Amino acid sequence: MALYPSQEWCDKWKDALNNDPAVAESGKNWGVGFKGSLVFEVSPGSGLEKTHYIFLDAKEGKCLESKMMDDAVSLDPGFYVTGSYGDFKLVVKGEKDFIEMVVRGALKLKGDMGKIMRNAKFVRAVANSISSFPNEYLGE
Amino acid sequence: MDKIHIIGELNGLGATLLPIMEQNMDNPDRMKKLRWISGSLVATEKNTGVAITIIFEKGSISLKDGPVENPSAALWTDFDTVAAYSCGELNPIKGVIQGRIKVRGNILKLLKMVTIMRSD
Repeated sequence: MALYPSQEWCDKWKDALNNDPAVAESGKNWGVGFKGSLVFEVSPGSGLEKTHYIFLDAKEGKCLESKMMDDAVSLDPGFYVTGSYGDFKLVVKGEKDFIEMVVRGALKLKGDMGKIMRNAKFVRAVANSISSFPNEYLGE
Repeated sequence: MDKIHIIGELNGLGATLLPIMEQNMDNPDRMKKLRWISGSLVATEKNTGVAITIIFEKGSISLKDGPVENPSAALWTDFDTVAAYSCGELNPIKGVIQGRIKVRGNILKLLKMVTIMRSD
């Protein structure tokens, strides 16, 4: 099992995304004519001691890259998600739905919301893939 | 019209829809139908119970967290249906007939007001 967050976890997420037919099907238009990259800024708490950044790049239903970053300064992602480790952990465990967390305001999503609306099925498929493999967590 | 007036702190639903509403403010064709409307629309995401109110007052639009009492119209739906409507994939009348959207109040006004959420 991979520790969330870690590079091993990022690699597993990339594999899960690239082996998920729902991601491939719903993401055909994702990243076409716009930046399909996302940064997840995971703030400390619930066992996480410092802020972690996870960079995910996706295009046309494929994950191109998934990696841990030391900071987000050098990045210019299409979308930016912020939240606490405790809240992200609920999504990664599959206990809470990503969209629900955004609607409730627990996770904050920034970027072109029109693109999010047009690709809502892809966003949901990507979020579902997060909880499709077993993980270990800090603080437990 | 200039910009959306934010009343208080927005919840996640409001924060998600705000950029789309702001883009529509710059769309003269879309704003033509909304320019003379007065009233309020409460939109509730049914899976979370999170609600926003959009207040139209002849030329200005405000967005606030939560519902208001006695809105002109109200709708209940899930985020995926909001997204499908927003990007033009779902006709709202079809959504109501299919039971994906529940509505109350002045439906004609609702159909006009809800266009502020269109992103296509």
